[in-house]
Amino acid sequence: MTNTVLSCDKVCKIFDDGASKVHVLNNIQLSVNAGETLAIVGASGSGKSTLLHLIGGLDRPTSGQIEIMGKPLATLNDRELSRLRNAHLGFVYQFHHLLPEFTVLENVCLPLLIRGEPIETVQKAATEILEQVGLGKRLSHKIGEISGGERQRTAIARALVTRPQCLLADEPTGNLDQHTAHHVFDLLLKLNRELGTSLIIVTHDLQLASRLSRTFELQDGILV
Amino acid sequence: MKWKFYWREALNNLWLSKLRSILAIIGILVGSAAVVTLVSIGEMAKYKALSEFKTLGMNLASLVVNQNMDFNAGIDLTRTLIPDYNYAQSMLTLATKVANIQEVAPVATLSLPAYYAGKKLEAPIIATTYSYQTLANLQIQEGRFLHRLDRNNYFCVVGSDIANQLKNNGSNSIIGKELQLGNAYFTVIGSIKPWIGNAFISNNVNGSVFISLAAAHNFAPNLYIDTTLLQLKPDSDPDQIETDVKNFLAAKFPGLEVTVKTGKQLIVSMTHQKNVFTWMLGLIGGIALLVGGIGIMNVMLVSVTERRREIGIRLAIGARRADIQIMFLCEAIILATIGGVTGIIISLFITRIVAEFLTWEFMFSGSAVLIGFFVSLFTGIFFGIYPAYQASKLNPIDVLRAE
Repeated sequence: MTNTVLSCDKVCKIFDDGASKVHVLNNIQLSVNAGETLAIVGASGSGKSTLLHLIGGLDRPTSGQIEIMGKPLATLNDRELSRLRNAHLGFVYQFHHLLPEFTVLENVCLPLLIRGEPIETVQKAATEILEQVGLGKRLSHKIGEISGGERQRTAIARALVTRPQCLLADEPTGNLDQHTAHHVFDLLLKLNRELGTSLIIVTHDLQLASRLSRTFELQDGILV
Repeated sequence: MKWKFYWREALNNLWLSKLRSILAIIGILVGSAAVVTLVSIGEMAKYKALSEFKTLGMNLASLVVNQNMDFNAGIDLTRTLIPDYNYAQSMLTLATKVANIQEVAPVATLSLPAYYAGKKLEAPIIATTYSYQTLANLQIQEGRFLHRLDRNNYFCVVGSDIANQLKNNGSNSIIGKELQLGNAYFTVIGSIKPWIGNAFISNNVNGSVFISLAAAHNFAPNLYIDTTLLQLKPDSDPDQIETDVKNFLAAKFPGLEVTVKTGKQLIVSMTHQKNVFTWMLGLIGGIALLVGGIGIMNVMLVSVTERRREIGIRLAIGARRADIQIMFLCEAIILATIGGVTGIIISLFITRIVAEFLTWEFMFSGSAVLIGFFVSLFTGIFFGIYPAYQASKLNPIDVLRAE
């Protein structure tokens, strides 16, 4: 039985600044099943990040429909969208976007705390996932005290601590050297296997993209 | 559960930006201390004035004859009774004729020149009866006050300032000294201790010379009774007495119009006056608090700008806009509460010092504390709403892109 985590149907995004209209995404058709991994590649400014924001419910499409876990995003209000994002989606960005004033553990706890879970449960889950990404010994370090690779692994742990159905990663290795980039990619694939989380990874790196089950390219707003 | 998280987060965030938090707290603290201190001082002043008056004037009433003054024609003598010595004699029977009146003291002020040993004394002469001592609560420094049996003896009693002037001119005791009042010579039989005043009695007791009404009538037949002081029995009804007195006078002097003022009426108007004063002080404090509130808003807006990225991340990982608003509001409430409570504690010390300094009875008004606290809290919430709203309106995409 195929289990669709995410689907896009004729999704268009037009940025209209009054003077001119920019068609960033045109008729995007996409479907992602549970546990599937896919890469989206494309030139800078091709709309990769925009697509990821639309899928993540951070932005709304001009037309077309996006469904996550069978729920059309267009029908959800702000509150329901936040809940869905918190429950089913994880985000990893090129810049780790961790909060420097908090420790590694606290950063990873945040999504579950926002959900309102008891602190003991939250800390247990966060510690577990941090051990899985190999940061079991870095729990009480501040973000400034760990390396770039470790920061990205912390970001991955934060994205996965809620056990989302789908992880959206926007150039997760873009800021890392090749060796570390492969290491982080290995980790993502390992977690994909262990947790069954679908991966949608936006990247420039075709070599890394080839390690995923499917690869799409965005050209002039069209997914090919 | 979630609330525990909000408060913990808010405390954590405030702790992380200690200096900013302390500055915001100081703003609210100054405002809250100003409100509580000023209102407490107002309350203490009110209490002081009223308590003094209550001990001296609660059972007093004064009675003044209304004059139908026509500014073109002067006093209309055909229509108006002059409150003279005969009138005063009638007034003295009030204590026996009207229930609940204990003492009566008609008071006439004579503007006659007074001399001592050939030197002029700036002293009004008050002609009254022995009851004046009880009514005005006069304490005797030396000798005695006028007595019922003095009748028209040419005796006088002097206030403390006059007594000092007499002493400056020579010996220590003033008893037996002769004062020339108008054309008559009076013997000093006593002096009065410095008198602190009484809202009910307008005479300058310390600077006056007291003689008996009967003696005054002898050498100044046209004396004019300015006012008649009455002492009422405790717990009597001043309104009833006012009616009885008016009825009594109406029968005796048809057409006479009098105004009766009672201590209770005066207390009501004094309380009202002092409350206005207290509210004005509170308002001044409130302005300080307003400035503190603007400080909170300022600090919070800076905080929102500094924490744009954090807000964006929180929104991206599933925080609702309401969560962000609550987070910032919690911070504002914590700042306002700490500022408010600290301000109240500080104002406790200031009020204590002020009370000590002015030798007032120390009072810390509970209502002032409540007003101070809740106004601080309200200020915090009110001025925290806008920054919280601003924070929740951030677009996570813009924030996360702008790395």
